[in-house]
Amino acid sequence: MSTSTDNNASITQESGPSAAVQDIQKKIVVRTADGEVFNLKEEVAMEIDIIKTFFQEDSISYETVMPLPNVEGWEMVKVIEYCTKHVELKHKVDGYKERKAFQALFVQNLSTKSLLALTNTANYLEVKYLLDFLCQAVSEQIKNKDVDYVRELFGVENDFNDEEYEQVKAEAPWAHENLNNDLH
Amino acid sequence: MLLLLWDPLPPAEAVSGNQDLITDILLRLPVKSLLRFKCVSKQWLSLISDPRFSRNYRSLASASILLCGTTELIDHVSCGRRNSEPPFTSLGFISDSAGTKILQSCNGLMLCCSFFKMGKSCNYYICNPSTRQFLMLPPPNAKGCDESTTILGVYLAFDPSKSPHYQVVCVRNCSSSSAAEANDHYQIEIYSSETLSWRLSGSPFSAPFDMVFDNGVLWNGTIHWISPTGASLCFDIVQEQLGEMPSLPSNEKWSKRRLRYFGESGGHLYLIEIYGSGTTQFQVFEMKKDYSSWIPKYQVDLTAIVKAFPEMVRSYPDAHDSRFCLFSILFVQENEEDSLLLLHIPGKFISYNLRHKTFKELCDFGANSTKANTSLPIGCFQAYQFIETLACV
Repeated sequence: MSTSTDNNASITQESGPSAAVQDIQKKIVVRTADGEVFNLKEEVAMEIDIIKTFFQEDSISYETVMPLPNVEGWEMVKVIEYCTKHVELKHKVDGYKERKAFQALFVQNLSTKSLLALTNTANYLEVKYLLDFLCQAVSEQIKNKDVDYVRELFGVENDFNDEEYEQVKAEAPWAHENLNNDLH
Repeated sequence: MLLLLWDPLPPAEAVSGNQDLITDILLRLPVKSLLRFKCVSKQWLSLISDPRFSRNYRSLASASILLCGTTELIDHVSCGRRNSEPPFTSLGFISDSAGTKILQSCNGLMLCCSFFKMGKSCNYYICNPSTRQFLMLPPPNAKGCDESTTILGVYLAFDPSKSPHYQVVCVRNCSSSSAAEANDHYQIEIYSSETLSWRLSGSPFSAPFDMVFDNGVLWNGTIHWISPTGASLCFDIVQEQLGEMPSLPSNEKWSKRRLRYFGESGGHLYLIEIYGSGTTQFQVFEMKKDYSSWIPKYQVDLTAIVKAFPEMVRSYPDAHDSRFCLFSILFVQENEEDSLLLLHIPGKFISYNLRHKTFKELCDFGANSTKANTSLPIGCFQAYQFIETLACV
């Protein structure tokens, strides 16, 4: 059962002399792993390299619904949100402050685990600037955390034995102290 | 039809399985975090310890300027748009009973020496404040010179884009008893972190009597010295050759000079000389790459700053020049984003943008001072360019 979700993808009717040629903005449709369907504006969709390649390389018609089995619905929402803003700011001369404010809001309600998931998605979808931003955001969130937190977050197993661990720790014991652990 | 068949892992594991992604995240962390995360797992240890990681780390790190008092870090100016905490606050990790001061900062490594203490020799250290590693340099050889020889200048040359090893150049005087001329002989020695030892470079050379070898500036793999009287010399570390420098841009009498700034940033060698006690307009000169001459690069007009901070101006009615304008130049910072002039005025540090001719206050440290900002202790503060690095000492 697929549900259609429109995200910043309204059909605009352009009026004026050229309107006869192209009235409707092109849309690209994708379906995520959980069956959600998204209608993207063409210009936003083209920011996502994997989508761009899919349609352009083999000249596939826009009527085809592209499957994205590795992307969850909520992730697609966020990616579209970011890319739409990016396209909007492309045309602005000095969008620095606006971009900063948007980025702060973007990560505000996301847990670090969600950020990581999004990072993986951005990598898979091939949106370089979003990937850069997310890697930066993750690094900001983990920089003052301790080793246990990082292991848990990344799902990494400790394959050191006690002796080995102490040996590595002893190289820079001060690096394990005075962590400003924020309550996250 | 596009077929996407790979089995999706739970998101976090997908990231940790993807070495490139982890690397991308790790490269953005401060050194302290990286040293700690070496303990996460064997894979992370191997990743962070890899020399390629270290190289990439360096190319991504952004430089900052450290403003230091004699023993402590007063302020830290981040040059990237991201504001980060100061990388370190003191050199206490170097265990020297006399305490140590910074002589020079070079691509994240620092050359330090111990303060003078009676009965104790002066030690030189190479340290990496980001990793808190340090190494005490062995004293330069006395071969070929009398026992009574003075170290005149020590310089660190470290360019990680060319080699993970660094060199230290030492200029010592070497007045042999047979020299009848007034000119002293000097000798250069070079230490290499590869060989862990000093060796003589060339034979003793003579220089003009007014040549001094402290306060040299490293640029383009060459150390440059300009003495207070204007005598100059340079030493190419790779070719191990001494060379000449073009004459200074100003014709004014050196004794009338109020201050001089001579430094390097962003691959450029800069010189500022200011004459006259009330001068607020001057030029920043840059050395041409072919060493043919000094060329004016920026025009500076501090009038707006003086207006905003009138405490800079002092009048001494009994002096010849009745108006003194108190400021000293700490640093000329050049990078892709900005060209900045860092100034020290009574009680404050100011950053002047050389391209846009705007300024802003960086730090007001005089508020708690008991001296009430009446005097400007020039030479009390030093500015150093700094970058975090994992480089080994």
